[in-house]
Amino acid sequence: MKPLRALPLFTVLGLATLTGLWLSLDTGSATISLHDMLTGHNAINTQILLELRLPRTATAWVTGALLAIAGALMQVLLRNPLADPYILGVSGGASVGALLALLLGAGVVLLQSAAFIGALVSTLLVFVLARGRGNWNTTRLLLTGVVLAAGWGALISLLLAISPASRIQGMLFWLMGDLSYAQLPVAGSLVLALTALAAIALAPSLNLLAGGELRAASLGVEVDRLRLFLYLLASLATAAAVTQAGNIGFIGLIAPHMLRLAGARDYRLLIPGAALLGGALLCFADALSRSLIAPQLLPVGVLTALLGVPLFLFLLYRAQDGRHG
Amino acid sequence: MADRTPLLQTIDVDVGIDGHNFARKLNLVIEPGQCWCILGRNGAGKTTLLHTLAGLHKPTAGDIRLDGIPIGTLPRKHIAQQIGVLFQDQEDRFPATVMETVLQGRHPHLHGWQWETPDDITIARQALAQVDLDDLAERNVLTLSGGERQRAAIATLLAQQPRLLLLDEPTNHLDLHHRIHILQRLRTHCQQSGATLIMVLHDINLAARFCDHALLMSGNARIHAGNCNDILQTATLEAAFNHPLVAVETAHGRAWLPR
Repeated sequence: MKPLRALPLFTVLGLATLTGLWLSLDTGSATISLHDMLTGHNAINTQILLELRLPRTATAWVTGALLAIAGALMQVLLRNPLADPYILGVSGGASVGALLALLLGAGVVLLQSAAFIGALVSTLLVFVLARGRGNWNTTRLLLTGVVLAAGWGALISLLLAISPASRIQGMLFWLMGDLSYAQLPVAGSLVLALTALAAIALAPSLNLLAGGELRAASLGVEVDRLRLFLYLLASLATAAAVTQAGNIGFIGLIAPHMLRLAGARDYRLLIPGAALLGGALLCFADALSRSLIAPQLLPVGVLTALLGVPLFLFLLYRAQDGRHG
Repeated sequence: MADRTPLLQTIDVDVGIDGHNFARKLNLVIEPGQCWCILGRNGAGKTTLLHTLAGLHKPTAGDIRLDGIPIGTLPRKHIAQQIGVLFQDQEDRFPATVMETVLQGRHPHLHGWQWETPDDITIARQALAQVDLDDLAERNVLTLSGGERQRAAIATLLAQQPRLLLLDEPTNHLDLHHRIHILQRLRTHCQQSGATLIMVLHDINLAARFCDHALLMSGNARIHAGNCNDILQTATLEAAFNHPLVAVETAHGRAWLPR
């Protein structure tokens, strides 16, 4: 797909992002009119908007964008279209950190720090173990990550089993993805900007890596360096996403795939497209999670899966129809 | 001075993988316009040797020089402008059109983030026409047959326009017509552009028909290399493949049949 032919797609993605942001800002128990939002005449409403909803909406968008980019990068790193940002255990490490913090009754800052440290520990562990003494190949990386993720899973179960009942719901919400701790995502936005720019800069090489490592090398890609960089980039994006919003599933898997099905297979288009789509999807899911059984809130991760599964299946079904057309 | 330097040269090169030696003290000089075949037994190291010549696999000893410069010191992108490789298996896992795949061959010639130019697209179209795939340009590679994928990969290599083409079993998956047709096209392409061919083949008769130089690998690092006339002798071939052969003289040249 050439840049000009992608214009309609990016128009749709842009509109989806704007709609998502608007819906997310507009959803809540207080009704705030567009007029109030823009003029700020009503002081209480302005406060709700700026201090409660804006941080949450911004976090939702940034998290969705981070996860979508991390997913796209993991898929090409592992050369597996089924890979998602969590496959190598980054979120498992973050979860163990976060649950420990929740178990100790920690506040938001400590919770997020613990999650981020957990994610980094997991990233480094996989890196060191998978690298071993020689080159690190895809299979070894995948196996190391998957086994480590299983280990984190066991620790998570252990922590849940020994935690007092009063803390369990908070923990489960966090594990399913939860935006209620959201603050203005300053660090997350920085990481997003960094990963998005780096990934877009690397996009031509990513296109080649998707076709095989040796083939990419024979076409001029410094493969070892690229893979190392990709791994660190994807892990950082995942860590940032998980730190601010818990384990939100599915976005990282489906956003890149929806774009591929829509024809944006070139990573130069796929990366920015995935960021827009991931952000928009999570904003929609977040708005729904707050309004579906209001005033009660649902974990947003449940909604991403509930929305994502049928949407993805529908697209897959249509793409198969069109294959022989 | 410039035309005294061979295109590719191996100096006392040892090739091996996990303790198995495939070549010892190999000294080859590959000149522009030559057409080499690599023949030999299963497991004799043909693919590893080809990857070593491409700079994708480090020799255990010795030096490989591209235009006189040790290949290990060159950036991959520079090598990719000179050497193109066709791999034994095409491992497409992500959807892409045939055209998008072939355009990837232009990558070594593009600067950073530059989008493919109309010239690149013309080159890719010509490459597709060379392998009779012009009708399938917009098809998804994942829906292609084995032979069509192989031809798409050869088109990618042609679009790359390297001076040295290394092909690992280019006739894999190809039907009788395309086997001859593609080898003929490759040969003509090289004669016209002055490019050099090195290809791993399994069919002695195709090798004798299309190549002027041969490298015979008979296992345990025993290698014969030189002119086809010197190397492709019945006794040598029988020893290399460990199988009796009959040489048949035909109106179109000599052919070998396994006994």
